[in-house]
Parts: sequence; C-alpha cells; structure tokens
Amino acid sequence: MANIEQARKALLRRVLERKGSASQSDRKAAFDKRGPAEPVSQLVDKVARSAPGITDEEINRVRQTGLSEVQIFEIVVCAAIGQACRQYEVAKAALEAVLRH
Amino acid sequence: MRLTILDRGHGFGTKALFALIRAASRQKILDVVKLVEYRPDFYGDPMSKVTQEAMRGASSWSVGDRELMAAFISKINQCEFCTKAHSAVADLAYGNKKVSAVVCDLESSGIDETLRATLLMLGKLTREHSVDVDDMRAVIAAGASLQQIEDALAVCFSFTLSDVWPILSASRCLPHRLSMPARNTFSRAATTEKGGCWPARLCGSINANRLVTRPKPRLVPICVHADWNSTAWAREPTEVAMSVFRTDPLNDAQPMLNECLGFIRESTDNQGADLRTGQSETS
Repeated sequence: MANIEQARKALLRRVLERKGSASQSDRKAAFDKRGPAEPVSQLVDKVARSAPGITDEEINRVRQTGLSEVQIFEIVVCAAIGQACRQYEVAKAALEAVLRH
Repeated sequence: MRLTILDRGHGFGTKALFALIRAASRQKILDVVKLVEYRPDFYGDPMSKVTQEAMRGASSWSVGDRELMAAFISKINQCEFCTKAHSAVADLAYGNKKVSAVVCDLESSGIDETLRATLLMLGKLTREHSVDVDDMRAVIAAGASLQQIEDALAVCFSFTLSDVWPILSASRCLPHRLSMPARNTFSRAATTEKGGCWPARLCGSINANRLVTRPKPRLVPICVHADWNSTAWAREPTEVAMSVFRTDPLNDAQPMLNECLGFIRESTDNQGADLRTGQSETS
C-alpha cells in the first residue's frame, strides 16, 4: 500500500531543518502559521486559508520588508507544506478515533 | 512569475533544458515547471517523491481513481492546470469521460459508492481544512478500507501542496486555451529511468524532440519532470496532453502507455523510429 510517510518526513526535514536562505525560525513559523511578522504573517495565513486569492500586492508588501525573493519562496513553500500537513494529520486523527471506538 | 527568481534563478543545467524545450516547442515554460525545477533540492525533488508514492505507489485505488481524486481536489483548490491535466490522465485511464462528469457534479456522476464517499470526504477536507469521525465513518460505511482511506489522504496531501504553485505564478491556468479530449491525451514515460540528473532530463527532451519535429501533428513537450519519469505533451494550439505516470512496475499503467502509442501511431505520418524508441524506453 502507498506509504508517503518516509517521503513526507524527508520533505519536512529538508524545508525545516536543513540549510535555507530564510532563517530556520522563520521557516518554522511559516510552517506553523504563526508569523514571522506582518505583513509576512498575513501572507502565510492566506497561503493556508485561501491561497488562490493571493494578490501581487500582498507579495509586493512582503518584498518591501526586505526579504529576498529566495526567502519569500521558502516561506511560502513552508506555509503551504504546513497547511497540507495539518489537514493530513487532522484527517488521520479522525480516522484513528473511529478505529479506537 | 511573481518572483523573478522563478523565471531566472535556475541552475545552468535547468536553463539549458528550458532553452531546449522552448526551442523545440516555441512555447514558454510553464510556471509549474519553473517552480518545481527551481532549487529542486529544497522543494521539487522531495515533493516529487511524495507525489510519486501517493499517485503511483502500490494501492488498491487504481491510477485512474487517484488521478480523479487529484483532479477533484485541484478543482476545489481552483488550480485549473492540475484539474484539467489530471482529469485528462484519469479519463484516459478509465477509457471514458467519467472524470469530467465527476469533477463537475459528484452527486449525479454515477460512480462507485466507495469512491464517491471518499471524494466527498476529500472535498470537505480540502474546502474546510478539517474532517471529523462522522466523515470517516461515512467513508468506511461506503466500503472503503482503512488503507484506502490512508491512500486517499496521501493523494490529498500531495495535491493540497501541489495546487499551491499558482500563488507564485501570475495565473492559474495554462497559457493556451485548453481542450483535453481523452483521445488526444497520451502519456509517454521519459527516458530517465535513473531519474534526477539534468543530463538525463536533457536526453529525455532530445528524444521528445524526435516527435516534436514530426510535421504532423506538431507535438510539444510542456513539462519534463525527471523524478516522476514523466513528460507532458501538447499538440498545439488547443489540444493539450499531460502525462504523469511511470510505466513500471504497475500493471495498470501499461494500458495507458499502449493507448498513447496507439495515438501516436494514428497521428504521425512517418513515425517508425519514434515508436520504436518509445516502446524500447518504456518496456
């Protein structure tokens, strides 16, 4: 049966723990949907909640904070992975709860 | 792209590959390809391994079922490219137009109840970012096994993530008007069995060009993705084909390949060498 756990963990290790242009703390904050700070946190939140609605202006506002494009790229990727992980884990938890009862 | 690094920040090998594809196809490189190929060690490569396992790993869901799930999730995520591309591959896998109907109207599509219940759960998870025990009970009551649910969640994880690429792109659709009838959708594995390195991808593109340069029809690679061993193709301007599969060792991929080769046979005037190449590369 398909088992993405190993590949998923490798993805998480790469984006969160290994070398990047954005700091590890910023990447982790984006992953956890808790920052790093405005307006980046606003972008991170929108990536998680309603990604298709993100506008050029929102990206530009983040750019004006001094973050490089590479850092923005990494933060957006981490935010997206964080959201995908939360959804996946919520669903797995619901499934396990059914099996327990 | 909203970030210029995704237009210009690729390594030399990738730029060479892009130049080759542009020259052969006279098309821009798709934004999704630019994203996956930008610093692939950070995102593209590890993400591709997740997707490969979810979409082509062993599962009691068929490749067509999983492609349908991908299209359905992408539709909710408003990713037009992924919706149409994966609908087309699923249509081909099923051998009919089932997917378009399902993506448009799940309730009246007449699909298998287990698959329908699973799609409903995935739809809620994608829209509301959450499901509960009642949702899971409904899927189990419809006949899905624990492993099937986990496999479906793996597809959902992969496409929740894959559908995010338009954030960094200016648009959410292909640069051309899309039309993906099943007969015009075909798949062909790239020549990158060893996967990963750019020379292998380049070889895949060169082989692709043998088809591209045929006078009728003009087939253009729109994507080369080494870790997926896949090449996506388009017959411009309106007929677009997308391939995302690996021919081995899954038995259910082989009929898709045969269909593709049949399509090439029908569509190409003088194709002998290309077909031999295609068969030998994927046998």
